[in-house]
Parts: sequence; structure tokens; C-alpha cells
Amino acid sequence: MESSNSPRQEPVSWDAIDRYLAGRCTPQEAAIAKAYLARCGLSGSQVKRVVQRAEGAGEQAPSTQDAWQALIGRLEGLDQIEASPRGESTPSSQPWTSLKTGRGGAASRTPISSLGTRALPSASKIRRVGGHSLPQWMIVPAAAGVLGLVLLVVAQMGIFTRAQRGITPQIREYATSTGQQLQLTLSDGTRVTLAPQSTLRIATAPTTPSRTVAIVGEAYFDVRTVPGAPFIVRTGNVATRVLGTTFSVRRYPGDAHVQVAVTSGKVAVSGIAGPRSALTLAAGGVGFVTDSTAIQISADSARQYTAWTTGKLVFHEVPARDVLATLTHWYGYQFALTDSALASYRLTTILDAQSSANALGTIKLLLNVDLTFDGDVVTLHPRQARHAPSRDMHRLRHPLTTPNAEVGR
Amino acid sequence: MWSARLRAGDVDVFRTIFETYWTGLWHFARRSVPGDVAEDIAQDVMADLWRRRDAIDPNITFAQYLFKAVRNRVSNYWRHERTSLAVEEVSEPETPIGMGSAPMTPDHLAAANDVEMALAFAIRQLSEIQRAVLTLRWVHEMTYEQVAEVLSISPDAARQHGSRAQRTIRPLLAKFRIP
Repeated sequence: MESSNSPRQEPVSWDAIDRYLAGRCTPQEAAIAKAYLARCGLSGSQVKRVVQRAEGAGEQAPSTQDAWQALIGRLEGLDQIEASPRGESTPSSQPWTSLKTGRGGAASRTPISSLGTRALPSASKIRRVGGHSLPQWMIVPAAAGVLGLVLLVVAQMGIFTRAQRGITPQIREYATSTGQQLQLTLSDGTRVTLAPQSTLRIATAPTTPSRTVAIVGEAYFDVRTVPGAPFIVRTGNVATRVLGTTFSVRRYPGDAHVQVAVTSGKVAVSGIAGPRSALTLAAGGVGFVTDSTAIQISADSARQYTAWTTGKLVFHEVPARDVLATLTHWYGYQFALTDSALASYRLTTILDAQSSANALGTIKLLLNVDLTFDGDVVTLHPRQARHAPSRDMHRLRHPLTTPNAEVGR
Repeated sequence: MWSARLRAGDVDVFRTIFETYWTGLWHFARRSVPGDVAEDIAQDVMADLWRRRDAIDPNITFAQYLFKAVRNRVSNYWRHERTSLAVEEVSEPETPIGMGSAPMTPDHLAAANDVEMALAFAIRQLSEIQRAVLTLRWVHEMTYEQVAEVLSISPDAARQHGSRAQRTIRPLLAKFRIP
């Protein structure tokens, strides 16, 4: 590196500083460069910031948040595009994707944007959101229904109505927290029950009412038939298409698969692996879909997967770790196991979705453990380590469902 | 792994990419076009990334793809504006921008003992292409080969622009250096 312009001999190679700032140097070079810049009163990140700011003639770029909202506005149907498995045409999304609204997309934003990301609006606020003058595709929380009571409780606690990814009229988001349920009626008459710690996102289009929702967590749907307009539920990479039916969909963050349980009618489930990850489920059917495969378990078990909508958590030979994960969603406890072998014991039981005390009592009995509480963390200690269930005795049964089983022995 | 997830239609990944590059892309376009045009261009490029996510070469980095796309769109913009000027010529600032009408010299700034302002001043003295190289190299951490690809110049030229830019900055920093 030349130093002809330098007023005095540089004690450091600028190549090293260059490589350091480009994130492509050896640790020694980094140390040298850092030390040099520090003696000039600068840090690497300061230099980067100054260089970045010098671009654009010192002006500020439009805020990332606003820009994202504008982009969502013009990529109307982002959800629909995504909901369709690879290779399949998405006719309904074409008019929007080719629509260039530019910054006008942002201009059409409505007062809903003023809701803070973390706002906890009251039930009436949600209603106001639902009644707002934009398209037909609106959500109003149902005041009546099997969960009326739950909804009342929820209303007092405050439900998250947020658009985690930027609130726009095009994508709206409804979320529940621990133990909460939310019943929504969509503008087409479809009723949705949102399980705890779950999120429903809905893409709305000013002209074409969409029948697509995205779910993180778990939800139960009672879909109103609209001839020629399938209702689509997107969960991760999996799309579930229905005409008119009742079913539940579950995929919490971290779940390896999407679970679909159908209680009436028929649904088509498709993952991203083409026919290998596609399923058609009839009433009673339960399917599990991953990125590479889809399996259907024995028919007529759907009821147990949707029992939560009636206040019961039904488990049939479910590994304890999965039972505890579900209880975390419902009761908010985090569970710790002092003996990791407990995690794979399979449990069969029915727990009360409303009473954590009853449920924990049952768990204690089934797994033969003592519970210690530390804040929200519940630790399970095997009661008698020497008499822990042996490997071939790991199917523990609820004393009520299998009266003769010896629990935990 | 980002590109695989983007291909699979992962909106969260797309959002992350958007948030990572939005400001950089806007500034990069803003060097050569008015602010509202820069915004449109950056938006178009991001929208394209999403729509064409299946077709994007997984062997190039997102930064490379995005900045190159911005540059192409800037060129198209001027072509459509029917200007005969090359982009670099148009965008060359006549005076250092952003420092007010009475430019301070590096010596003034040295006296003010604000190394950051002085550095900003020095960077604004650079030619458009030198600044572009520094930005891609230092802010977006590209290799000179990648910088060259984005700017459609040879790697040697990219290196040369980089080292010339550094030669402008060097004496200035030296003024602030504690021996």
C-alpha cells in the first residue's frame, strides 16, 4: 500500500484495516486494525456507520417499517402466494402481484395502523377494528358460542390484536396468550376458535375477498361453504384446503409437523414435497405433515385432537414431553425434568383445560413425581428413583381410564 | 440457508432480508437518483426478490444480487429519462453534499476534534465510484470480486478505487491519531 499522500509514515497496513472493515481478516489483523482505529478515536462500526450515512447525500432513508408496509401493500396476496405449493399456479394472486402501487400502497393505510405493536386493546377496540369500513373480509369476535365464557375472561385480560409484521389493511393479525382462547367469526361466516399462544393472520384484498388464513399455534375452524371458493389454512409450508367442514390445525413454533384433525367434511392437505406430502382427510381423520412426508393415523381419532374447544385436553399415548408442551400453552408453566427419561413416557389422560391445579395433580400421579414450583417453572422430580418405570412399562395410564393399571410402578 | 428458506416462501426470512438491506439499497440508489425514485427502485428490487425467489442463483449473495439489481434499475431509469449522460457522470456531486453551504475543511474539523464528522467529510470528498466501492466493501462486507461484479467493473479497478479512497481518508485519520 502506497503512503505517498500520507503526511507521515503509517504504523499500520491499511490493507489490514480494509480487510478488517470488510469482515475478511485474520484475528491478528483485526487486533491491529482495532487498535489503530481506537487511537484515532474510532471503532469499526463507527466507520461503517459514517460510510453508510455518507451515501444518499446525508439524507435519511425512508423508515424500514414504513417501507415494509408499502411493500406488503404492493405484494398484496403475499400469503396466497406462499400458501400455494410450489409449481402450482396462483391465479387469484396475479392481479395483485402485477399491481404496482408504489408508495401509494402505504398511503392507503387506515387508522388501524395506529394500534401499537404491543397494544392490548379492549374487546370493544377489537370490535371497532372489525367494523372498520374497509373490505368485506372482516373479523368480528363472536359474542356467543361455546366459548362465550372464555371470551368474557379474555376480554377482561385483553387480547392482543396486533400486526407483528406491520399492520396494514392487507394483513391483520389476531393472537392469544397463555391460556386464552378467542372465537372469531370471519365475514364469510366461517368461525374460528384460536387456541392459547396462537396467532391468526388474515390477508385481505380490497377487491377479491380471500379465504386464506395463516396460523401459528392451533386453531379450530367451522368453515362456511362458499361454492367455488376453497378456504385455505396455511401453517408453515403446509396448506390445508377445504370447502365446508370442521377441523383443527396445529403447528406451534418448534413443532416438527403440522397436525390436521377433521371432525366433519373433507379437507385436502398439501406440504411442499408434492404428492409425498399431500393427504386427503375425511371426517374423523388425523394427519401429520412435514416438509418431506405426510402420514394419516387411524381414522376416528379426530375428536381427541379437537377436544380442547370444549375445555378438555385429551391425550392418548402421548409422550410426556408433548403433554407438558401443551400444558405450557394452556397454563403458562415451563416444565423442567430432573430425569430426562420421563420425557418419553407415554401418557393417556384427559385434563381440564381450565384448571391447572387439577391437571398438575393428574400429571403428578401419572408420572409418579413430586413437583416443585419456582415462579413459572415447575420441576418434576421422580418420587422413587429406584422404582422408576422400566423401559417396557413406559405406557402409563390414567387410573380412571385403566383402573387396574398400577401407576408408575 | 437463507436462500433455501426464501425459496420455500418463508416470509420471516424475506422480512429479515428486507430489514437488513433496505437502508443500504435506498442509499445506494440515492447516490444517483432523486429520493422518491430511489425508494421506488429499492421497493421494486425487493418485490422482485420475492417474486423471483425461485429463480435466484443460490451461488451469489443476497447483497450482490440486490445491489446489482439496484444498479441495473438506476441505469434503466436514466435510459428512460432519455439522458445521454452516463450514470456515473450524472451522479457525480458538484460540491460535497450535506455539510452546509460553508464547507469545513478537514483542518477545521480536526480542530473541532470530531473525528466522525471529519471522516464523513472526507468520504463525501470521494468520487461516486470510490464511495460505492467503500460502501459495498466496508458496510456490506463484500470481497473486491463481489464489489466489481455489482458495479460492473474489473476486480482490479475495484481494488484501485478502494485504495484511492483509503488514501484520501488516511491522512485525515492520522491527524486524530494519538501517537
